[in-house]
Amino acid sequence: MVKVTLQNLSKTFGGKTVIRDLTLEINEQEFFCILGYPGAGKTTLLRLIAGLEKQDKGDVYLDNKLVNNVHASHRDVAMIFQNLALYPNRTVFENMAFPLKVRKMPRTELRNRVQEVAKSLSIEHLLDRAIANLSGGEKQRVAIGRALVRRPQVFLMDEPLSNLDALLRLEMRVELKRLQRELGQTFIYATPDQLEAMSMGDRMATLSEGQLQQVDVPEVLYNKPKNQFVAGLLGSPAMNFMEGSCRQSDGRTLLDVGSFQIDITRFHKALERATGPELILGIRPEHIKVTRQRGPNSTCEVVVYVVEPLGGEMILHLGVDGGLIKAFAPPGFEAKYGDHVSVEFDPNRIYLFDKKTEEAIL
Amino acid sequence: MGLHIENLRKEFGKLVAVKDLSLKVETGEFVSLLGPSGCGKSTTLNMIAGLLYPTSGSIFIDDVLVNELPPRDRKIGLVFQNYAVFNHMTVHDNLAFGLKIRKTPKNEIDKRIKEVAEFLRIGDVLDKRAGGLRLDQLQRVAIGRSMIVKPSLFLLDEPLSNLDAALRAVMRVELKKMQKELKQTVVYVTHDQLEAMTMSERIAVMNKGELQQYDTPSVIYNHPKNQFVANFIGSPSMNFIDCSFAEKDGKAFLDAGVFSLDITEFHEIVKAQATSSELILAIRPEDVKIMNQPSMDEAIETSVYMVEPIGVKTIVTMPIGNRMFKALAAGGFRAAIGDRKWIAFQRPKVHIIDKKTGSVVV
Ligand SMILES: Nc1ncnc2c1ncn2[C@@H]1O[C@H](COP(=O)(O)OP(=O)(O)OP(=O)(O)O)[C@@H](O)[C@H]1O
Ligand SMILES: Nc1ncnc2c1ncn2[C@@H]1O[C@H](COP(=O)(O)OP(=O)(O)OP(=O)(O)O)[C@@H](O)[C@H]1O
Ligand SMILES: [Mg+2]
Ligand SMILES: [Mg+2]
Repeated sequence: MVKVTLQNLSKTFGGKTVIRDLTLEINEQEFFCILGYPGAGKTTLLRLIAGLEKQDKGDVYLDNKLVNNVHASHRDVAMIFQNLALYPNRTVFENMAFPLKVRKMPRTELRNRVQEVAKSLSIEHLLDRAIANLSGGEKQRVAIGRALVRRPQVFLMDEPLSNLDALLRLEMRVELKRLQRELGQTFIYATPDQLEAMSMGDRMATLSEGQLQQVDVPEVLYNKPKNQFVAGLLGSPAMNFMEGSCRQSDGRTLLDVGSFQIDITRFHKALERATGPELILGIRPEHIKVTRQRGPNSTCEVVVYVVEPLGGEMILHLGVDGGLIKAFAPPGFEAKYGDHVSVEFDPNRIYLFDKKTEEAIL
Repeated sequence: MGLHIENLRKEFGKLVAVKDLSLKVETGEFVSLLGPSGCGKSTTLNMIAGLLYPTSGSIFIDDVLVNELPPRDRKIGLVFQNYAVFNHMTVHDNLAFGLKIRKTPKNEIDKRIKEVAEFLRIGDVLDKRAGGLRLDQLQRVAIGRSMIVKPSLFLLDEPLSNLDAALRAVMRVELKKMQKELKQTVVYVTHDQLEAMTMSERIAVMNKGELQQYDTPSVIYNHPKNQFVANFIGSPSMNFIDCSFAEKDGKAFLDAGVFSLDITEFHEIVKAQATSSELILAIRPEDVKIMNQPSMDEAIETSVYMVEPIGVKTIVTMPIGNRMFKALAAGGFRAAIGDRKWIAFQRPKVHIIDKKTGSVVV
């Protein structure tokens, strides 16, 4: 149960800045997710917290104690590595017992501890098997188990579910989150999968090129993204973006997107923040209503390009101004390639971004 | 017409990799072979391509029996997971390669390269060596190389599996658009149900070398033929609960121990088709309603095990009997772990499966 504080952390590898002046506070007992594309710096950040990598600048605190000069083995932090790092020719038991042996734990206590953790991960029956003979999902659970036996103050998890197949991943997502609740420990969890981050994190951070973009509870990132990057990162299908420019007409402010205009007069206060007239209009697929006929509130007419039936629902790819936007089809809606239909953007759910700075304006 | 496979079989020693598979693909149709790892998808595709000889059975392409024809005479285009692109050659020369072998006149080659490059948006890298391209560009070149020879039949084996999620989504749409516009006949191998559901006119679901169901995505999703298909398609997966068939006072019930469901309306069908009284109730997470009060007769009491908000939806896991049960709630749904809830099924969406045979009865 430990708070993790990072202050102005920077790390470069051979001239390349990988972590950039990063300040972040992770609360005790929190499930904290770090979301970012491959190469964003997630692994590096975890390694800095674990003490496996030394920062060029900045400080790492565990429970308000500066640990910059504390060796990894004394930080009471356990890390589950992206590539698992198990000993393939040893048994599951030996792998899980290893961190305890290093710490010279008495035999019986060690045995009990390993059994208990193995049970909680449903790998009890595998304890005598060699790692090399396990499936990918079983290996992943052993790696998690090896971190758990130590009962560290902080767990660092680097894409721990990425080797699992879709069904098992869904199951493990729930189990990990339960485990964290039961242990009441601090989990820091790195992933490139927005679904994982949103579904597991009490709070989350989005990382891009070593820089934090937004830190908050997942709902806030989803509903009030700070910038276009975050807006596009969360949600599946992702938010639609269209370029437009502001112009005045009869005392109203219109956003001209080409084939249609949207009245944005009511946002005039917020619009003062824009650095120029060029804006990006954002709207999530679930906030677009698709209709056969044009109605009084229709935003514009569009052409159906692709119909993606996803089982329970259907996603339509609609051609607008040479680009494509995605929307959910209403239940029972029939559409095919080339159909002309209308869309209505929910006026209360539109987003505006400054084209130059990519910052959210609303 | 298109592709026609009859009783196709492939044995590797004792292993039957493909078991008497029959399948018809119409001209201009996009068909996916979908199934778990090792189910025989690639083996099937390789037989169609002529890279593997069938143990028995026949393959017709455009009504011509091609069993004895070498790959180059089969009028097929092939794209593999590890794209066959010549790294040392420019994109232009890679595209021209297949046409040069076929001794196509130079001006025709140039014309087609222009078309294909424009279509796949690789016009700006035509003079670059393929070795220096990004992954998605490479994959476009591989696709371009195959489509430029205007094959009767386009065979793709997990062509997008090397790309990250965002790129995969983009390429999915582009591939589908291309296929629609060229009215290309496509057989597409994937283990990703999302890809199959979104791109195909029909899906052939395979398991252990055997065809399980061959139909449109919507039929496969809404009317799976057996438990394998029901479980494999859809994310989160369908819920299954073991039940026994019970009759009382002229009514019929599914008895799950912790609850019992009146299925009198299916009494006759179940009696006629089920091979024993052991049945499985199956229902998709989106067809389960969560309530704060037992406001319906058939409400089943449970408690919240985990809540996973994923933006537009929330996945809620709850125990029923000794199994975990998943329901999909709206994006704004919130509940604490342990909260008391009641669930009810959308009755028309309940499937009943014969436990012994795995066949869907209702
Ligand atoms: N030891 C190292 N030496 C040189 N460069 C490195 C080293 N470790 C990481 N990098 C670089 O730092 C950047 C960030 O890497 P990091 O592994 O932290 O990213 P990541 O977000 O974990 O990515 P992924 O999702 O692929 O695991 C990358 O460009 C990587 O090449
Ligand atoms: N040349 C071979 N010799 C022996 N067995 C083989 C051979 N090729 C494939 N198999 C076996 O045949 C079965 C089907 O393999 P196939 O490659 O068709 O699977 P797949 O459905 O494409 O799987 P994946 O999704 O993993 O690519 C597997 O059990 C595989 O091990
Ligand atoms: Mg990493
Ligand atoms: Mg394969």
